[in-house]
Amino acid sequence: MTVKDAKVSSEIGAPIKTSTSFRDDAIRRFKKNPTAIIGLIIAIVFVLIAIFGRYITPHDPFAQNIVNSHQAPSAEHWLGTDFFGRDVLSRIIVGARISLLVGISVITIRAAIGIPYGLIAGYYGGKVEMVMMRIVDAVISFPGIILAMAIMAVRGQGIENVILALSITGWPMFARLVRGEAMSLKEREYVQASRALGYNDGKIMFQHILPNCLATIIVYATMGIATPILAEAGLSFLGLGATAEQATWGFQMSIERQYLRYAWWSVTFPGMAVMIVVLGFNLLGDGLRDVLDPRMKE
Amino acid sequence: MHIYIIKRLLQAIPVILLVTVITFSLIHLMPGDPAIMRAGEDATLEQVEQIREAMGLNEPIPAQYLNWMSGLVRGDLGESLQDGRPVFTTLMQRLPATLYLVLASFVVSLAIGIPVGILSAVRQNTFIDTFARGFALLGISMPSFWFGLMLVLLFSYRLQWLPASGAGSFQQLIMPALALGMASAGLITRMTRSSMLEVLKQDYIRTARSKGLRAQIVIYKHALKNAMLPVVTVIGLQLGYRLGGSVIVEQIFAYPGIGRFAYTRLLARDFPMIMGNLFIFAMIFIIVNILTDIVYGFLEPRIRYD
Repeated sequence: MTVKDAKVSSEIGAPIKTSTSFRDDAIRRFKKNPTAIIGLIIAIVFVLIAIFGRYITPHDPFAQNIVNSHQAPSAEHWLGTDFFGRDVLSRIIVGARISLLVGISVITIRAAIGIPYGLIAGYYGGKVEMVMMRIVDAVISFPGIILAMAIMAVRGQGIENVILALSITGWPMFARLVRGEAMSLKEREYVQASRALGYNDGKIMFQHILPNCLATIIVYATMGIATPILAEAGLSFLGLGATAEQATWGFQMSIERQYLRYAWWSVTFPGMAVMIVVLGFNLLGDGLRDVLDPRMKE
Repeated sequence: MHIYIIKRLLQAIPVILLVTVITFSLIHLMPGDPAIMRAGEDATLEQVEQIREAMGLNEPIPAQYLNWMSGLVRGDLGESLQDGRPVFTTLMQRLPATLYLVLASFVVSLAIGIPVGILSAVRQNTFIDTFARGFALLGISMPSFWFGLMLVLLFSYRLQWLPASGAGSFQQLIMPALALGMASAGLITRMTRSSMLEVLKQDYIRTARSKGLRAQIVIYKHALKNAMLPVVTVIGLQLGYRLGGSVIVEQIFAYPGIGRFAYTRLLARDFPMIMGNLFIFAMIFIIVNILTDIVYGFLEPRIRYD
């Protein structure tokens, strides 16, 4: 009898529906968590704006009309206009797409590098781990944003390069996280058992250890979406990120910054957009941690 | 303890070597010809060739790396392509201003984060706690440069209390330090809170309370000491973010530190200067983290037997 068969029969044998499953229990806890709900709502609204942004802008976000330059917020332009007379609200709405794109793709690439790396280091231990973790230490020694800036200077402006630069600099945190989990999980009985059954290391790592780190990984990745969004805003603000056609929130602030004294709205509102989105993912991550990973609960 | 310190120092050696490899290979991936950069737009082909020879750029890459390394161990990071000045001295001249700013930002984040975190933990689930947690979340969610610009808008343009840029006086340090320190203030608030809550549940705290000690003494003498341990480790790791953040914050406030300088040289592709800068930042990070680990070893004896 294989391990899988044993699991099925025990499920059949167990009294059905008297105990709640982990999933039902998690959903119940999530619903009772107001911060998680607020975070989820912010994240969903943000995703919808990113998808449908172009169809819901009140004005053309790229139409210049210098006569309208730096109009204060009004009924016509809720968040005012920028130097070229473009509607700030409309520009914030179209900026959401790239922000989300950067956040999600960077976190995905970081995870795709960091998770297997951490699993291998944590599972094998010994010399392999030592060498691998020294590499992680070395990458972490550089301030991420400066390393990213140097890469941007090599590759030139553009959102693809931002994604590349932020992915290269951020994966070690995933590696550290997963390594720690893998180190403690590999001593568990079920891992020892699968080893005794002769499963190969790859199977043990990805089918037995990884699923048990997933809760921690999901929590970290949700909170982690915030970091590249902030970093992209910073890089674009310095002129080392998005191009003018990709008008991200950071880029908008970077060109409007010089008019801050006369037109506070064209800098203030894009920055607020960054803050609200980052706040949303942080709240959602906090909520998911309470729900999925009660050990980490404050 | 000695063994622990020696082990920690030995661990740093391969990391430093890897840091030099990363620094070097990163810059050698850069497009653009350093020799042409140095010779200037109007230089003849012979002049460029001469400089290329003088800079050792014709040698194979491993040889160039060894040359750079042999300079490095003597404290020589080469010369700037822009003005020919020695990299090490130039960077060292600008470093103190930035370290001063980073230090001030740590004062800001600790002075806000620790008291607010304690208050939040002691008054758990009250209005004060909700407020403190909200404040901490806002702190970590704000882009530092945006917060800096908002400070300028309020305190320089509207209220005209503080100068918008420059360095040298205390007034000029307030806003950059706030902008750089706010994110960590939020983080330290959260860490202090959760670690205080953890400690306050322990048996020895209950014992202290049941002995009839005043709540103040229990909190500040018994609990705080142990609750500060995780915060100590965060400070070391935070330094990296601060040095990186200094690039943006110094840019906003026209603060004459190493971050702003690095930014201008990065745009100009002054390779030796960029390499020197990356290396020095990484070294500062490594040294500070060794020190934090040693301090941690003193504070938490269990870790030494790891």
